[in-house]
Amino acid sequence: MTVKEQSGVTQAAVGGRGRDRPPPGATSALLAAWLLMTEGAMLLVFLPVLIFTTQADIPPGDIATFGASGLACMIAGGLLYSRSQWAWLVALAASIGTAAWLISDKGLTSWTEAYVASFIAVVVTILVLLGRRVVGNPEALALASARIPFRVKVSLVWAAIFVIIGLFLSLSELEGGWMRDNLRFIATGLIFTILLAVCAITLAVVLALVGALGRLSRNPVAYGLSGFYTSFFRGTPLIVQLFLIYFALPQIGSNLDRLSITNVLSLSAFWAGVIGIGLNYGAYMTEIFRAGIQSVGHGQAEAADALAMNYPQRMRRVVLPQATRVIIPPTGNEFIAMMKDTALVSFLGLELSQAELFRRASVAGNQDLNRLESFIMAAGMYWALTAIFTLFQAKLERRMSRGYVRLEPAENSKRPKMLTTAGGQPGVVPLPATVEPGPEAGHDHGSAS
Amino acid sequence: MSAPDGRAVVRVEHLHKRFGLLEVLRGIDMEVDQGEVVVIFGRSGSGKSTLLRCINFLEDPTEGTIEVAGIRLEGGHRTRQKRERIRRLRMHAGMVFQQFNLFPHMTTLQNVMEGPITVKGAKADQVRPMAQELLVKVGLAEKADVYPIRLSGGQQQRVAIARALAMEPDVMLFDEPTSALDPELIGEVLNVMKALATDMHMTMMVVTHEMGFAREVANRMCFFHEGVILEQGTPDQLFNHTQQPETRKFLEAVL
Repeated sequence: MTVKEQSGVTQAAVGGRGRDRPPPGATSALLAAWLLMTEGAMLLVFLPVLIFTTQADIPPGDIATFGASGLACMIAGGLLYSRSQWAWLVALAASIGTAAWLISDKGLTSWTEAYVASFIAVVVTILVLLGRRVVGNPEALALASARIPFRVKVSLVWAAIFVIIGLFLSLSELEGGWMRDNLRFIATGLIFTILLAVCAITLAVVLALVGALGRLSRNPVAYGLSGFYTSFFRGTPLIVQLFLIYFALPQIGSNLDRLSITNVLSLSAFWAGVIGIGLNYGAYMTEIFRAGIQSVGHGQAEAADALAMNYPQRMRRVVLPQATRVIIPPTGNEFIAMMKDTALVSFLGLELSQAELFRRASVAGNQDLNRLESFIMAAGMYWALTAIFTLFQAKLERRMSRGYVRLEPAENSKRPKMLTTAGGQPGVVPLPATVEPGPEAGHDHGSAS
Repeated sequence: MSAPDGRAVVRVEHLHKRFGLLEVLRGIDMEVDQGEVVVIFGRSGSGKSTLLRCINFLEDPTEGTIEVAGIRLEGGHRTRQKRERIRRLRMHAGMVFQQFNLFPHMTTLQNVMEGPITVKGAKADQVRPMAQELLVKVGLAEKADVYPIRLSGGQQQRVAIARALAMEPDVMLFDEPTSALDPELIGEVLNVMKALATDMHMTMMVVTHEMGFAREVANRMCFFHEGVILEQGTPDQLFNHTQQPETRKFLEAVL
């Protein structure tokens, strides 16, 4: 009903058909509009790059062509959304005109222009073949748009971003060959980056747990020690701590003229990195762990006490398993941040045989003066690493929610509902399905009374 | 109704508890015999919950003596040695909380088995039959592998009772066990408690406002008022021959 009323106001094209099915061709027209506008945006973004970088080689006419085609694409794409039937014709004309100009103007001078021209030709074809039926009908486009899932649209945006970046890089004459040749060399650094991060996070988790228990302790020594630890390592820069451990500590031995002390304190860059990063992140994670432990309801500790558990039993069996659920997500974030901070270890002059990712990228890039390629590769690898771990973390989080989710895991796998309070608290209203009908417990025993 | 056989399981002598300037308990003397069911009632803030929490040292008594199953402990500050004795005392006193406080990361059966395994060092295989039997007793045998979040409040409280019973305590302390429950779920919990008293002859101290339960099950009722036991006696004495005007006022309000 409402659709009919609406269509009476705007266009009759929608009204006769099913409630929310767009007329045929609407989806294609929509895609064409998106492609056109993306294309236009791309051309306009590259216009300044062309002007400032390749001024000398490319005649002004070509630059004007480039800009004009960008504008034409934008306008053509935008016009498809307009209500007027004429807009479609203008869009078509603009596209065809641009393509024709590109081709006629001294032919196609580069593969980029050929690409642009052919691209526009494809869009024009789509417009001609399919667009006519929905011309001047923005309602139809809106309906078609509503049928495309949000996730798909977001994926399209990502794809567009990658295409633009890829084009940008290819325009800036990135040496694909060099990248392929050095891929193995740089990627080997991943082993040590991961090894470094895993060792450091292990150390950090242990320190954070001990630190958090210290912060929650009534023992003045434990409390004071953990207070000093978190204050110092959160209060000084990580790079300074790394230099202290790697470069400064061995000096104690030489000052005292004791070679044995120097030997003990002379750490390899790898272990200096593990210790430095582990200590630093452990200090930050102490707060995470403390908050996680405190988030476990007071009643849980009392229940453990009432069962005559001692402190270690209470922590190990009752408090920490529940705190872990709260601790895991932020710890995952810390681990991701830490994987990136391992790049700082490259300043410790690591032996190339066990250099981490960033150091290897620097070495390779500096050697052949291919820094763009090498650092883009390094960034991509760090990014891939963190992206993979983020996925892994989401899985782990879902697993941890066991015992806090009312529905069966299968019914609720997409978004586990986490209760903010610990389970078993009175605020939880029972589901009708799980409520027992009556006091059946009494039947067995109550009859005796 | 089971008759108490005269051996005191819980003995409270001259118990005082202060929170800062506020004196919540002002000299409590009390003995609970083997198999006796004592219902403790009174206005909120009268100190009845605090008494229960002092008995198993969830709160440290400021002054006085607590004795449970022959383990005698003075109030005042905790020392390392005393902490160990408190733990031994707690093994004889099962506690059921108003908010159930089940362990949400363990299934029903794991909740019941947790005490014997962790505290008494028992093997899981040896505890399991006993734990399953307890779940049968509280009517939740089929919920053994379910996590507490999927149980109703009444079911959770019955699991909590089974969990406390698994430690084979000499006395069960119930701290307002039905106050957090929806009205239609109270009965199932009270029935389990009734069965505990009549079938197992469990010694019980119950803080509750369920006067029907008290009338039916209690051997003795204690009315708490401003930190002292103002009046105590059999249900018949308290309900039908009330002595103190404060007690009468309270009973008229809740009945």
